[in-house]
Amino acid sequence: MAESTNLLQGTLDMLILKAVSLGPLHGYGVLLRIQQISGDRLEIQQGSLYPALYRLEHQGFLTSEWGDSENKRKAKYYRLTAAGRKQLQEETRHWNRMADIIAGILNTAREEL
Amino acid sequence: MRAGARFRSWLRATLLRSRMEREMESELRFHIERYTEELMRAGVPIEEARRRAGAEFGAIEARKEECREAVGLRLLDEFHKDLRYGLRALRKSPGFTTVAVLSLALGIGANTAIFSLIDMVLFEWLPVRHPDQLVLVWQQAATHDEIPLSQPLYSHIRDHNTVFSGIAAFHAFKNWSVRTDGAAEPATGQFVSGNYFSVLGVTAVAGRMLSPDDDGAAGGPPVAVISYGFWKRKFGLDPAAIGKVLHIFGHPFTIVGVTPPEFLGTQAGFLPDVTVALNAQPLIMPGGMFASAYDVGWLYAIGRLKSGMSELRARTSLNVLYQQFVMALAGPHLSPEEQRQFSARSLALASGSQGLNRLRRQFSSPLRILMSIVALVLLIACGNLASLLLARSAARSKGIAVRLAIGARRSRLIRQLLTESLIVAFAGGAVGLGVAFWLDALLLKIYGVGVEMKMQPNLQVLGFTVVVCLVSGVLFGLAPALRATRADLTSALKQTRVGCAPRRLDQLLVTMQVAFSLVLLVGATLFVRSLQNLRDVDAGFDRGHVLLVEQEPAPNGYLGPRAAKLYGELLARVETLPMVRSATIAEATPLSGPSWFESISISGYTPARGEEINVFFNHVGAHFFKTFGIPVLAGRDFEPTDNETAPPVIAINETMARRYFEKISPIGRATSAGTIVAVVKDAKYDSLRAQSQPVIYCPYFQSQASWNDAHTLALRAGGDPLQLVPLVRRVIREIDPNLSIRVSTMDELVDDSLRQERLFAALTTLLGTLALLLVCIGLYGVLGYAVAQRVNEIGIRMSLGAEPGNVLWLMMRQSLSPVAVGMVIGLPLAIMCARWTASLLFGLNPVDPISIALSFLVLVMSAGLAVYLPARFAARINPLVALRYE
Repeated sequence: MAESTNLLQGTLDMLILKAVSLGPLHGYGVLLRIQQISGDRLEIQQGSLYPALYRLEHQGFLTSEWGDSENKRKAKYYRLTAAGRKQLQEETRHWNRMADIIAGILNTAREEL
Repeated sequence: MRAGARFRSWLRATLLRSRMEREMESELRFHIERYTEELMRAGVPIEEARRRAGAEFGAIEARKEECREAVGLRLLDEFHKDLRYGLRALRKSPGFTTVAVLSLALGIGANTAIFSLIDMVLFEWLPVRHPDQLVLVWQQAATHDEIPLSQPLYSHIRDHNTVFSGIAAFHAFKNWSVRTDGAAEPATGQFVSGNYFSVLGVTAVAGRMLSPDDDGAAGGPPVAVISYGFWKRKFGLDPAAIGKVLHIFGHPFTIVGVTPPEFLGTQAGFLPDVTVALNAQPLIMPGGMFASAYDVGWLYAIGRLKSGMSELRARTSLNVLYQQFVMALAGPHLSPEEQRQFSARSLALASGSQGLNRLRRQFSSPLRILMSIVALVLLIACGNLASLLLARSAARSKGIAVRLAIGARRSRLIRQLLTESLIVAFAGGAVGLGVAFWLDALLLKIYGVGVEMKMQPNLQVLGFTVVVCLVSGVLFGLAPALRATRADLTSALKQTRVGCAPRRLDQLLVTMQVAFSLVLLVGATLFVRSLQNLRDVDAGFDRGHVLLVEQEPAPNGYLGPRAAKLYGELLARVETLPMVRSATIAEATPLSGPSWFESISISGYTPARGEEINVFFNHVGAHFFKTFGIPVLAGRDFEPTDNETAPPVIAINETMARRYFEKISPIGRATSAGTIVAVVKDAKYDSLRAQSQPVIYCPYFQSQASWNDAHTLALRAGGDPLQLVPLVRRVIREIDPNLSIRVSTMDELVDDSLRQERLFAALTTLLGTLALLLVCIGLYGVLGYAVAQRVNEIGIRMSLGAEPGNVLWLMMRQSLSPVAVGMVIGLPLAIMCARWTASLLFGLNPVDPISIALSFLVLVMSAGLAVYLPARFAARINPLVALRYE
């Protein structure tokens, strides 16, 4: 976990939605997938994952059901709902816009003013 | 959609709570185990792997709590905790809890009781199809009198209107003599038009309802519909009742159906046992065919407006029809005088959703006054509880300060304290419902004799009680909760008992309670004094030992000379009964309302220009004055010899003598009604409140015009008049088994006429005393608490030389000043409210100095006593003990 970065406030929900959008996952799987995609550059507080999952399910972005995990043990699998897919698109668009704007500001050279 | 998802998720979490907890547990465990396994795969020893997995995950319980919060369970959990905490706190102080719950139970119970009466009398709709479409129709005279419709007018409107989809007519009667088998009994009855049930949309629970065919001109065999209550009472709900014959005044009617149990007729407080068609009127009320009588207004009409028809348009349209009727149709049947009267009238419409509700007018003002009284009592109870809670919260301030210091949020603590108040409020409300039920039964018993109503708790009443509980819980709980949690941490934690001035909120509460209770006390004194005045009124007759027996001979076929013969025989037989001192008959008995008035002429008296000598007439039997104990001031009582063959004689009352025979003796003077043989004392006919009117008494047997009318048999007994009842019953049964009777005594009649006054006096006294008691408890509690807080300070004062008297006065002054302010505020308030009750008072001005002075005195004395006791305790403090007191 070299050069790990703390997660920006409020982005965990978006990352969870993204992770789950690639296929149903249990909680631990979500953690693994985010770390995998980020190339282990992101560190996620393990405990904060579950309240976020519960909140997303409560808001109707995720649904869950119990299923068999890789080692034949029962695990709770989360799946994206239609509303969740819309929400993910929305947040991705918003994030990209913000990132553009902020990058634009940060890249501004003195003479451009 | 998202709100829906949230709600479903919350509901699932709430309802399947244990499953959710189980799943959450295994989900988190799964995570930790998988992580442990991964660490082990990376070569970490098992113990170390477990430790690290647990540590990186964090406190599992805290995570769970966050998850619960995420699905919205937190509020619920906290509410559960608050509930448990509140119950525990209340259990710990049973004294406070008992006082609080009981005073609220009385306050809320009284409010619920009066509200359910109001709901029933003022707001309840008829249990029929779309009651909101119904309107009542009657004739409105220029004098604002309401006159029912004559039958020809009703038929005209029914056949020619364009505004109603249907219009029905009804008239209810109290005393029908109905025989199913055995002896005839009085029952309530009503005449209705054939379309009555179809217009209202009422269907039979057994058999069928009346139809227009039953009300035809020719008429088949007469039929009747009975009420569910009558069916139950007389036939035990036996379906075989349909088809049986019942006799109304001896005339047979076949029972064809039963009305549903919830249908209580269309006149509030009047439940018809037996309903027959209008065409039965000549049978039951002999002496005229109302169907063609243009001058007999006897029917109330209730119509169902066509959809989209407004009341205003309907009125305009109906009045055109009405004028047409008066001009073209009724005209030839009416005298010029009647024609003039009719054209001055118009048709009036009012909402018929409650049916004909006379109770509304009769009771709405008393009920509103009662509602205000009980609301005041509840406010006082709330104020009282608030003061007690303030004292309590101060005692708990240390615990609260500790919790604030370790980071509890203030809003959370306030919620917790409010939950506690609400527990008390709802406990009070629950007990209060019982109180309300009992109080309503009591009120209906004393207040509503002759008024048949069904009392049943309904959703409105329950909802009202819940709202009252909520409001009062917040009302008395909020201020103490706010103050308890505003504690100044440092001083609260140190909890040194430095002297503190009485706080403004306490004083405000005391002031409010005193002001309101002054209002209640003044009200109570006014009602008690008014009742006393009424009791002391010289009614002009002797109420004791008089039995009254009402019967209706005319519908049983006794008309003219037959009726006179019947009464002659009846009198002759009852006079020989043991214990009967004297017997008579009377068209109008005292307090039963006057009969009719007539204009007469008196020889030797010249009326002023335009003056009419209008006098009330009462037709009475021999020994009338002796039987009722009305003193004969001059002349003689009527004798049996004053009969058809003797010259007509009359007796006059004092008022008449004073008005028309100022200087000369009236005895022996001739009038157009007969020769005056007696002047008797004024007796009250209308009510004890009414002024006496000029009255002429005529011997029954000399007044053939009154022979068709019902007369009350009156007996003066040597002992308890009710012992005569079986004897009289037997005599009447022997004469004619179809005659039903109703018995009462003159004592009952007097008491009945004062029912409202007695009720108000009793209720306001009860509630006023309750309020006073609450105020005193409040004063005592608040000052007692203040004394306990200031023990140190008092010790210092006394050791510096303060006398016990100084201390006593110091403490009393602190409590008495808000009392004084409360009285100053309460006085104008009381006067204002008293004016509002003026119509219920008798013989005194609403601004009655004696009542106000008495209330002041009672309040000052009770408040003085309530503050004297704790103040005396303060004055007896031993300074040595006090200084060490912690």
